[in-house]
Amino acid sequence: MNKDKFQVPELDEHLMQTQIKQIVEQSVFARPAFSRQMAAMYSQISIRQIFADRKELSLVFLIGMFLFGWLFSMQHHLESEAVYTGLFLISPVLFLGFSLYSYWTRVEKDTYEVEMACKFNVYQLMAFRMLAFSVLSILVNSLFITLVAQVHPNIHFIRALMISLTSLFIFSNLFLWTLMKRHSLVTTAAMVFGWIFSNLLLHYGMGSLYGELLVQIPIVIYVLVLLGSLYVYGGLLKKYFDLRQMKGAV
Amino acid sequence: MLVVKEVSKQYGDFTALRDIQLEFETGLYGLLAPNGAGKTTLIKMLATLLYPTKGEVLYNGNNIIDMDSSYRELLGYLPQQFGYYKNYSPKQYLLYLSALKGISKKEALPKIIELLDKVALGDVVNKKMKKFSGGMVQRVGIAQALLNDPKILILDEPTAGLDPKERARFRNLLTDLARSRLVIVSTHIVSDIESIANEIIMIKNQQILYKDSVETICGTLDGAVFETSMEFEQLESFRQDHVLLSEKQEYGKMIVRFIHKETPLVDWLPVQPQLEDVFLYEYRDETNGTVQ
Repeated sequence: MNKDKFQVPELDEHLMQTQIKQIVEQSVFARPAFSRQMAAMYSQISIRQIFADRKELSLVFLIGMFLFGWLFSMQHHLESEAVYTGLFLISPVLFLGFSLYSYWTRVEKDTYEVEMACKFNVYQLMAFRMLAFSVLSILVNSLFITLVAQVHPNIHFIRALMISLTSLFIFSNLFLWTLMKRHSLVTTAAMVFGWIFSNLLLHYGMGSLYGELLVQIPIVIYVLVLLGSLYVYGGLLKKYFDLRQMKGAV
Repeated sequence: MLVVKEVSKQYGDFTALRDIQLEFETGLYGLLAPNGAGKTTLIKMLATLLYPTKGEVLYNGNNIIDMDSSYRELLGYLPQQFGYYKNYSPKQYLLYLSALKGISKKEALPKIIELLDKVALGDVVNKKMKKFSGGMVQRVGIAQALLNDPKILILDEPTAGLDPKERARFRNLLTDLARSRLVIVSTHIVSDIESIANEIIMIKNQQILYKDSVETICGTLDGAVFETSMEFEQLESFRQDHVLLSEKQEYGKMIVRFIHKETPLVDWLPVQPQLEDVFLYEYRDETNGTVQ
């Protein structure tokens, strides 16, 4: 009686590794890069829907403009150092207003669970909006500094811009970090008050020294701090985008 | 299709669910338990709103948390507390949610009109939702869960606020939907699911008590449910000795429905157990009578 002889092929290490890789690739869901996910959001959700609350955001914008207008009207009577400290304090104001409003309406409301169960969830939407708010803040701050530099003889445009951008991104990082660590509007509001209070304390406590310090720091240091802040901001924004991935939503 | 594999959920020292093992296929599943039994915790884990402390939930063999947005694309979810923006109309809100679900406006608009018609809101498409009754808001919630034609539809207490007519319409809608997808309905109202669910899941003491058809679950009380009538004065002592399922007054006498597992009296009428009987029996207060 002939029995079939089964030949077991010799295991080829390369083939084995290739097949393992294929199996893993097919079974593990690879997450696309942050930038690609943002681009996908932009292409799949219309800007009208990402900023569906345009009326409310416009109101926040007007309040921000009022603050800028107030500083602009005051700057004639202020020393250049005081204008720089004022800039450092209010540069994040638009970003703050937009982001706090977004957090309050998107995360703290009953709509949160419905939106978290969607393809693009609340944190992803918030991350996209915050990036847009940063860009808008940079534009508005730059425009404001241009106007101030035109009329105030001792304001140096590049220095003022560097102070403004550094302030914006240091604040944004603190804001994002607090949002991720505490998930609470109260804690975030406390951090915002901390920012304002510590700035005022430095301004009034140190007198003109604080302003002089901002003036004396070399531009290159501002550039380095700004680059570092931008790097941290990118990382924090990505973490915020993936927040649900780490913690679960509720 | 969807497998809950040895899932436990703890909140600090409190265990909400322990070693839950479930398998779901296409069809309608009723998750039935009293408030606080862990239904919403389980539902939220199936919707990826909560992560299990132990174990995992798999969809076609893949962990739903790893699947991330590709799982949520398949999901329709109505939470227990359906939130909405008061100044939005249903059309505006559903358009916004369609965008979050990755559906283009062109594709979403006819779908929204169709769904709002289906939940009898076709004539208030552009009315602000702040003027809506609780039942109307809930129907918007049901419509939004169906926007992406989900493969998995999870509804947490969907009939809250609906009147009897709306409930009946909703049951018909669910029956239709469950023919081609997995539908999980969490409720503590037995009549919502008794006649339409392929299987009922009951949770007790943080674990699965039953996962079976209505008939099989009712079968656990076969020969143990009776009805009898008595004078009102006798009721109190009868309550002490039996687990009463219902009491009603008829022609001056009390008609009671109760559980009895030993030899019955001749004038007791044996009746077919219903799902509500099992529910009331399993979740009875320990102080409410004893089973004989």
